[in-house]
Amino acid sequence: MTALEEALFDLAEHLDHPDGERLEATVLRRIGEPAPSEESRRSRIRAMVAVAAVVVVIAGALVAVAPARRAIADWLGIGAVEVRRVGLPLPNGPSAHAVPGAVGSTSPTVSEGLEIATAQRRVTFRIAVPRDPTAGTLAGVEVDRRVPGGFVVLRYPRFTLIEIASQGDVPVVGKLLAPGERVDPVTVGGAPGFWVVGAHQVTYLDRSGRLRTDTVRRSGAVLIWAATGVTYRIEGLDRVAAARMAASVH
Amino acid sequence: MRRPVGRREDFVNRFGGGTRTARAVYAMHTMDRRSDAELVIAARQGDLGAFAVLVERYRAPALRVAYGIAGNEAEDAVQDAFVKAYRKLEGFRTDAAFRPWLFTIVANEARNRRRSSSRRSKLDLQVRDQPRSAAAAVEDVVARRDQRRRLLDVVASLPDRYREVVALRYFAGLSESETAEVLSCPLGTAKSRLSRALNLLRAQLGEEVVS
Repeated sequence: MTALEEALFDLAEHLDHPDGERLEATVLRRIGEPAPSEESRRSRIRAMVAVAAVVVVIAGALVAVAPARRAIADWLGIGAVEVRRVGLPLPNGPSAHAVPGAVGSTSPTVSEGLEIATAQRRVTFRIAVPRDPTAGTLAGVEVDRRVPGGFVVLRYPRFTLIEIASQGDVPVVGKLLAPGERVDPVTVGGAPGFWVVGAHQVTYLDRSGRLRTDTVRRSGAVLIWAATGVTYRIEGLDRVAAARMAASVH
Repeated sequence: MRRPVGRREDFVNRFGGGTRTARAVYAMHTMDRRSDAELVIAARQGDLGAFAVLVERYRAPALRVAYGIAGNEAEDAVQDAFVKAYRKLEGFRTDAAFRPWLFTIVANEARNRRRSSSRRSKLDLQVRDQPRSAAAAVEDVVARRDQRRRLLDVVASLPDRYREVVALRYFAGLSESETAEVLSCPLGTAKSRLSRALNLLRAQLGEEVVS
């Protein structure tokens, strides 16, 4: 190494650059925000305002249904889905109600074995499908009309894609997270979403406005994201594969 | 029940806003022995603490590179770079080296800030009066400080492309091959650019530093 190179290495230790003491906190804060996009920012604000009032009602209902959940620590939400963290382990028992999208859902308002064209006539939003060739052949289509606007379940060999109408940005489906489970804000094609890892429980508001809770503890990771009027959920893939599949849904 | 507050904000407060959790995560950084690839995999699975370890691990060299390229805009450039790096983590191949991948983003952000600055005059780069470590203090005599000021002044006057290669190789301590990777050029090209940069510095410095 030449004297000049030594002097340059030495100089590096004496540069008067900013210390960046707040760098980590600032980066982590910004990571929690969706990628900057004026439209998504505006729609997020609209969604937050609309959802805020409804969620207070749901939160009250939840507490009434299960006093133990007073320990709710925090919550998040997008489109038709809200995610909240509870301070106690989730119960693990038989399902009290068939949950939209759950395997073996049985209800007069659930239709199975449909073609997409038939399903399309029963929901208020346009059904999108994954274009990624690794998705495989569509193995089943179900429509669940217990939630306002409808709820479509598309089953593929390796994963399930669920599409939920999110009229007026009102949350109709909730997830309860046990302590220690993780929620990571992500974006899918610029739209806000969450990567939810670990056990969770599903609740939803039916068309009559009644709160239904699935008491079965579900495990596995889920990618949820919201587009205009529709909220999507992919289950059964790892994070990388889910992100790729999600990007191809249109 | 605690009063519901903002949704994402609440998440951010939990993980990044100086809460007990964030402080605990911070305290763990210095002792975290996981490899970059292990941290990337954990971060992809939603472990923000793992990404925070990477931020802390590369904070100083990233700031040095960005300072060498964009001067006082270094901190903003590095902040943007880490946020972008996080959002691009899905595309990072964990069998590749994380450091050059990250510094490609850092250099790019710093370069963009330099380009967009209204006056592309000579950078205002300064040497610290107080050295950053006790070890450096022992050897830090006035003569050397003046010498460093002179050297930094000449580095600051280099054309951007040469100052950039100097910042990557010497300020961040990247190897020649890592420097080439960051610059997206063959190793030979990086070496010749580095050599040219050193020659420019020597020409300016005369015999002051070059012995």
